[in-house]
This record gives sequence, structure tokens and C-alpha cells, in this order.
Amino acid sequence: MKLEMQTLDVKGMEWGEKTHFKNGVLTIDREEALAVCGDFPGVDGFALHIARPGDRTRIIPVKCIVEPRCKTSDGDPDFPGIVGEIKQVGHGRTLALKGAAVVMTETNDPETVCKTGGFIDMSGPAADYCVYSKLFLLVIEAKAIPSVHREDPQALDDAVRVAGLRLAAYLAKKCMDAAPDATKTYELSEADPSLPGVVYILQLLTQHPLVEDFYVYGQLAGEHFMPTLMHPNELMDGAVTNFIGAHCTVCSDKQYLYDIQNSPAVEEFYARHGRDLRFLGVILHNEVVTLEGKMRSSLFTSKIAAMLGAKGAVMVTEGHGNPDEDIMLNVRNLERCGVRTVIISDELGGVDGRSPGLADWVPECDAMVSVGNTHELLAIPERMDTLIGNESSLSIIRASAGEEPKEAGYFYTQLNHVAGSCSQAGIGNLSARWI
Amino acid sequence: MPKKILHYVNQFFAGVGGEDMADYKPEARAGSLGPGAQIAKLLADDAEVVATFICGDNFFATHQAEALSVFDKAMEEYKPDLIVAGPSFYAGRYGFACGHVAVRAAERFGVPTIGGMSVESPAVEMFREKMFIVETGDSARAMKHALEDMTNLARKLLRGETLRTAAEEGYFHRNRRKNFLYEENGGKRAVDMLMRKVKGEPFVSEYLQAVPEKVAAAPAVADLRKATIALLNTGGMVPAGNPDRIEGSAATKFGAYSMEGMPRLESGVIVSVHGGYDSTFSDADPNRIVPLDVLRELEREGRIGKVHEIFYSTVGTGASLLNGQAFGKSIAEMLQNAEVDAAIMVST
Repeated sequence: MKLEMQTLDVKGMEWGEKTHFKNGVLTIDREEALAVCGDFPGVDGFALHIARPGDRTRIIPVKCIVEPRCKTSDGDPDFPGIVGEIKQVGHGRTLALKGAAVVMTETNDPETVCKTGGFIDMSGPAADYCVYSKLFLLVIEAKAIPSVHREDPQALDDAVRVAGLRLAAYLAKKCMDAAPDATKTYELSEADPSLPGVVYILQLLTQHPLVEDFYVYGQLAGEHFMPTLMHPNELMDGAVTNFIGAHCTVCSDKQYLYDIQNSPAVEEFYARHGRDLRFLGVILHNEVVTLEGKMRSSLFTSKIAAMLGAKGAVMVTEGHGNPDEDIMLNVRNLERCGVRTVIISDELGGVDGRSPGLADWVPECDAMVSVGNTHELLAIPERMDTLIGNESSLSIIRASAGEEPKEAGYFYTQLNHVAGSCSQAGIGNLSARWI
Repeated sequence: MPKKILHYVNQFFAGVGGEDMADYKPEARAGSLGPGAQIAKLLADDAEVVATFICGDNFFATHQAEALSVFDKAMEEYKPDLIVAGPSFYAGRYGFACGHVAVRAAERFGVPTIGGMSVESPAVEMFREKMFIVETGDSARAMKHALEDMTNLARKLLRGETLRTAAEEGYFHRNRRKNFLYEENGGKRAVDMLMRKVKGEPFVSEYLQAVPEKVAAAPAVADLRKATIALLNTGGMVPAGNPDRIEGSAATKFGAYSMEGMPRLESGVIVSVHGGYDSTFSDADPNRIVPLDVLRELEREGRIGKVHEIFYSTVGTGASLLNGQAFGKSIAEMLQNAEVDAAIMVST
């Protein structure tokens, strides 16, 4: 499976007559883009906004972040099973708009506080911790119909998820004529069999039936899904789509779809493939909510790694608390069948950094990359000039710190509300250390 | 105005005498002496060693209160910005004395202390959270390096500079975690660490945790018909308006709420503030998380003795383990005082 990834570097985003890419600027025809989103019975339409790095803009709640990508090889689908047909992806040619993202949010129902407390500030202190603050963002805001929303909160999520993915594919499609800034080929070519084989294990939350978390080729993975083998190119090509539903307060450590498309460990495994390792593939693991389910999933994940002959695994996770149990089961089972593990996890160290970081630990777990203490306090401005999304969700991001920040007009939040600040895909540079 | 340092040394380093003088009574002398002279020299641009507090090791160990009261007077007289204690290297009694001085300076005067100890010093584990203990060699032969390392850290504290990690600053960490930004992203660091581990090369995990203690199940209640039963939950069930302002995630508190005289919890009166699950169903019927309705039935039928009239709530999602433990201990104590026999813990 060979994938040619062409990229354009987006250095500006503007509204204009026609959606196209020129001289680094992505111009968007607002009306056409809105039409692409489609109509859904669960929402009263959508609004689109542009947020640029450095703007005094806050976006809340953040439901999904996706890098605009589309297939440019004939007949291949975008986000198969959701936007395009169910066909194999991971091969052919793909165009990605680097430096840009589509962000999904909602508005209009002040009575219903979306508990997804995640926010993005395009400038100010929180921007230092947020990878997405450095991107040019097209924000799609779903307008809730309060009566519908209260009966069926999932309806809005379903609408904005599909519309947002359509938008992401549309933006890239309209830039196909531009000469790419870079082209890179991803292929697991034959490598020296004496090199150690490694796998990337992507553990994703599966809180089904109450929350609809992640999809594989358009199918909600859910609790009945068994961990399976994927080609890394499939992750880059939209085969796995993740959505942050309405009930995940702690958003700092989610795997936004952007992180799955751009996993730095996958990139690094590719860079070293054939040099000092053999990249064998990706194991997609569902973190279900029952202990029996966790045990079952872990058996499959460790068995697949062992059958592939893997000597090592980088294991990334989503959320914390009960998913820490998935990590520890996997570490134990993998190490016992000879697969050396490194986990990437955040820490829930408390505001003062004194609490143990994970809910559980096993002696076999001896290698962890820390992506930060998500409880650390951060003083941020009460208001930015522009708020995109639902103002009522702001109540959720206020931390009770027992004191007020020194700066006037600031309040304390915790990093766990800053979208992606402790991304467990390891996309950021934050890490907790002993002091 | 230069900052002020108070230096603490034992009888030996003060030049008073060896083990035979270990009962030497505490005193404060103006200016520096012993290793303090070198400290003063190394920190000449930033601070002055205004006084030296001297105490014999045995005296300190056997008359701690008296020693510390003399120390208090020195603190009040000289008003130092920083204490330098030792270095005490591997020494046991001297190390403990340095630790106790540090605790006193921090707790009573809000003044930080820098000590210097070797990794084997028994005082390290006991006092590492209370002071900066710079890692030194194990004897006075390591004095030169120890004083350099201690004064390097002292200089940063005196200048109010932001410290890097304990490892980079050269002190034994204080059991606290803090965030830092690194050159390489987490994914790249993970692959680097993995390949070292796979190849059998040394690697340093960025975090390790003790395996948590497993809690054994309590024995069954002997006779439910005589038992008082309490209801607890981590589902964030609180009176509407959330009077205690319990956070929707990473909770820092729990609440205790009366249900006296209530046959069941009414929708709209008790609501969920939990941020990690869809609270539509618990808000529609709060008894789904706090099953008072069923418990009242059992109470009426005589199958349980009675319902404890207070329910206890916090939000489980994103909470720190230490907070959780503290809530658990407090609630258990409250239940014990109220002579509750058993509790139903509803987790979400």
C-alpha cells in the first residue's frame, strides 16, 4: 500500500468569491462552503467563521478538529463511509492542507451547557499550550434547535460531525489545481528482517452505547468492535474518524481527528523504517467501559502484536481514569509476550502536582512519555474580543483555585480544558517533570 | 539592598569540636564561619551571610524544642531571605537537624532552605518535600562541589528566577510534578525511548508510579435488618444550584446533603453536575444515582434498619487520586461518627 501525500502550506485564510489556494492563502467562498455542509433535521443550519493565529478569539466547545484532506487519485473516497463511499483508502494520492483545520462547535442553546469544556484561544496564555492555536481555522458552528437538542443531544453531534468532515474534504478538493509545496510517499516497503518490528497501538475511547466516539470506515466501533490491524496510511486517509461527543469534559487528552491524521509517532516510525526498525502496522484498540470488555480487547491487541512478531510498541491512549486500566492491561499482556512497550500518557497530578498521575499502574510498566500534568492551573483572560460557539459552556472551564490570578480580568482554568494541551498522541511538546 | 542568608552548621563544621562537643548548646553568631565563609564568597554579588546558627548534633537531637527556640530568635533578629543548612552529606543527626531547621523556617517564617545531602542520607526521604536538598558526595571531601552546587541554586532563588526540573537544578525532587516545554514532541520521544528499550540500551522513563494498594472487600453486614445504610456517589448529584460549587471534573471537594423526610429524590431538586456522562437520565430521575426510593421501600419493609439521612457526592471524572483518598477518608469518618453500618457507593 503506497500513499503519495501532497501538501500545501496554508499561511492565510480569507473569505472570497471562489474557494481556491494561491500564494499560501486559502480563500473560501462562504456560501458554497455552507451549501456543502448540507441540511440536517437536528439543527437549524450552520454558520462559518475564520479564526487566525493571533486573533483575540475563543472557540468553545470544541467538538472535533480535522485537517482538510481529500483524495486526488481517481475514484478514491474521502472519509470513507461518512463523506465518500466505502472503499479502500491508504493508497493512491492525497492532498493535505497543512497549517489549517476545520473546527466543529455548536451554539444557540444557553440552557444546555455542552459539557465538552474544551476551548481554543487563538492568542494569549492558553495559545502557548495549544497546537491548534497556531493553525488557520475554519470553524463550523451548528445552530441548535433547543427543543430538539434537549430531546436528543446526539442529533446535533451527528449533524456537525458529518458536515464538518464534508467541509474538510471540500476545502482540499478546491485546492487540487495548486502546485503542491511538498510531496512525500508513505509505504511499508520491504525491510531487513533482522531489524526489530514495531507497532503503533491506538487506544480510543469507546463509551458506547451512551457516547458515540470513533468510527472505522463509517461504522461506529462501539463495544462489540474487536481490536484490529490497520495500515498506518489508513489513519492518514480518514478511515478512522474520531469525534468528541457532548460529555467528555476533560478535553486536553483526547485524540482529536487532527492528531490521528498527524500522529508524530507514526511519522517517526516511518522515518526510521528500514533504518533501525521495521514498522509493522497499527493496532486499533477500543477502550470499552466494562472490565470484561477491557480484558477481551487487550487479549486481541497483544495477540495481534505477537502474531506480527513485534518486538516493540508505542501505545497511545485517550482520556484517563478507566482507560488507564486498558493501558495497564495492554502493557502487562504485551510485555508478557515479549513486546516491549512505551506508553504516552498525561498525568492527573492535582493542582499542586503531588497526586499520582494515573489511576492504576503495573510493575511491567517501566517506560512512559509524559505529556503533562493536566491539572496544572493556567490564568486566562475572562473574555476575548470574539467568542465562537456557546457562551454558556464557559462556566465549565473555571477552576476553583482558592485564589484569583494576579492579572486583572483573568481567571484560572486548568490545562484539561485547553484543547489538545496534553495530547496523548504526543503531538505537543509539554511534559511533566519532578520538581 | 543585598539579600540576607542565615547559615546553619553543627559543632564540627563550626570549628567548635568533634563528637566530644556534640552537646554544644545552640547559639547564633553574626557573620559567617566555617563553610559559610565560602558561601559568602560565592554569593558575594547577591547576598550576605548575616549570621550563623550553631548547634551540637546531640543537643539538637535531644533538645529539639530548645534548639529551635534559639533558632526562632535568630530568625527574628536577622530576618534572612534564605537559610543554607549544612551541607550535612551522609550524616544522620546533622541531616535531621538541617531538616528540622528547614521545616521551622518554612512553616513559621515562610523562608526557604537549601541543604546538601548525599543520596544515602536518611534525612533525604524525610525532608525532601520541605526544602531544597542539593545532592552532594557522601563526606566533607565533597565540600567544594557541594558549596558550588548549593550556591548556584541559592543564587537562582535569591534572584527569583524560575527553576527548571529538580534533575537539572541538582536537588532531590520534592515529590511534585510540574509542566515544562521540550524541543521534541511526545511522539518522537516515545519512539526514541522505545528503540533504546528494544535494543537493551539504558533509557529514562519520564514518569514512574508506585503500584497502587489494592483494597480488600469488607466482610458482609451481619444483620441488614438492624443496619443503618448510607448512600454515596461519584455521579455529581447535588441540590439544584450546586451550593458547594463542586466542579464538573477534577473535583476538589465533596458535598453532604440532607434527604431527611424525603420519600425519594425529586427531579429538578437534585441534579447532576458531573461532566463525564450524559446526565439526561440522572436529571430526569436522580434516584438512578442516589437510590433513595428503593432504600425507603426496604426501610418500610424492615429489610434494612434505616437510611442514613445524608448522602455524600463528588464528581469522579478527572479527579486526582490524592483528592479521592482524602474525600474517602473524610466521608468514612463522618459515617463512623454517625454510626452507619454500611454504605452503597454508586460510581458513574
